[in-house]
Amino acid sequence: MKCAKAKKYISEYIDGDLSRNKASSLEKHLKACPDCQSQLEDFQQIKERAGRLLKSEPSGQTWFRIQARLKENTQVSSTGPKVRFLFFPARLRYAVSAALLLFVVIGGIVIGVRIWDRRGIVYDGSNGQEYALAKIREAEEHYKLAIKALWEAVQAQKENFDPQVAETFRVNLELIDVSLAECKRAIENDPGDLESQYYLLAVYKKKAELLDSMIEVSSAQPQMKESRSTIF
Amino acid sequence: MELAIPTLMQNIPAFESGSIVRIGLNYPIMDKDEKDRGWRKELSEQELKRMVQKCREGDPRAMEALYENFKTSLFNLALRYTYNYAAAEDVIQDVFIKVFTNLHTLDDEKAFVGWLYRIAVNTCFSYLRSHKKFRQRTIPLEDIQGVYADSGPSETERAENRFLEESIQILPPRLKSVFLLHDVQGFKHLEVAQILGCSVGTSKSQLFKARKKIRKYLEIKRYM
Repeated sequence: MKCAKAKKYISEYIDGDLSRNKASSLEKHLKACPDCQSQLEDFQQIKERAGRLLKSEPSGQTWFRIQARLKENTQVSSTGPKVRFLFFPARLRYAVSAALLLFVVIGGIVIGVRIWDRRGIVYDGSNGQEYALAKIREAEEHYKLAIKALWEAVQAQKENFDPQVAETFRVNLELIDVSLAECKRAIENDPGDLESQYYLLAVYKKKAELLDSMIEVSSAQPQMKESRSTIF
Repeated sequence: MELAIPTLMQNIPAFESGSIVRIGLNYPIMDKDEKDRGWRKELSEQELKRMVQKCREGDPRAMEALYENFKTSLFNLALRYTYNYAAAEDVIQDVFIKVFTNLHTLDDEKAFVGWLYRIAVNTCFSYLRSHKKFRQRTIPLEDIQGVYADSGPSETERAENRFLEESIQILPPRLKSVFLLHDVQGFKHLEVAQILGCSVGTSKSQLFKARKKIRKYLEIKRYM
């Protein structure tokens, strides 16, 4: 066997795909040809290393995203394949919608306050800072309402939580509450500090987002009712 | 004033290799010695057939089980086309959406695996086509968060892996597909041919070319 042919056969040889006759001719050639022998060893090494390349896993959220998209697909189209997923109970839809509406209101207030704050615009006889503080208070009240609505929705879904997930959320909620307490303490020390007020709103927003994702997660795993969580 | 918010998600419990991860932003790493070739280890042909039938009927548990069985293999396939975690996640989401919504078109459950990987490869190509401008941006896998853990391979092995990843990355698309499916994912030539819609002979000759190119690249890098 010549080198050109041998080199072509090496790849099939290491995969065990070469016929017995060809394999034995190749083996004979390899014994006498260090160059082809070297190619054989390199190919074997490549194959072996490729099989051992590190494997990563997708994030734990990927399956929930797939479920959510499938849910959207079935909601959009009533024809085609039927993928049965449980959807939000109606009362939760209202709670979440109410909370989302409040977010829009809050967003408007916060943006307005920031613009007034930057421009130092005087409004209704008071100075810009007082006006900003009043609006921040208003936004805070709205956030509280939104959080209350979302929390009720979470409570209604609490039986759906995997205990491990519930624990993760509980830890994160605690962290947020610590941050809220810190912000409130800072505001008590300096009630006129707009920066602390903005931080407070940011933390409220984070809490509302976390509660929202809790609802999303719980609704994505309705089949887990048997493993009830007692965390909340 | 320092807020606790930036540390918010760092308190998520650590992932354990092989466990089912329900929430998290990190990318757990499988044991490097685990010679897992995806679904083969987990499912018998009969089990897979039953699972596919249940998925067809819309059983959410079967769908999740199917996802769990193929997610690692498909994610790593997508990762080696896109070299981007977020993109690879998008790709596998698209793959499973296509699979679950078109499962009723699959006549024979036995053909499921080939069908699934064909969808995966096509989705990867279509991602690359629609993101042409990013194709030249080569990012070694080890530079992406979470791929190589501290407790992972030795320095030498990391360098070898890095150059091998680089050499796979620069392979022409068809050669890359054959190499990834055969040498990385562990499919046989007949299966590769079915997935890629080519002949067994083509699969063999393209694998030979791919290995030759990789060998050449590693020789230049003096790792062969």
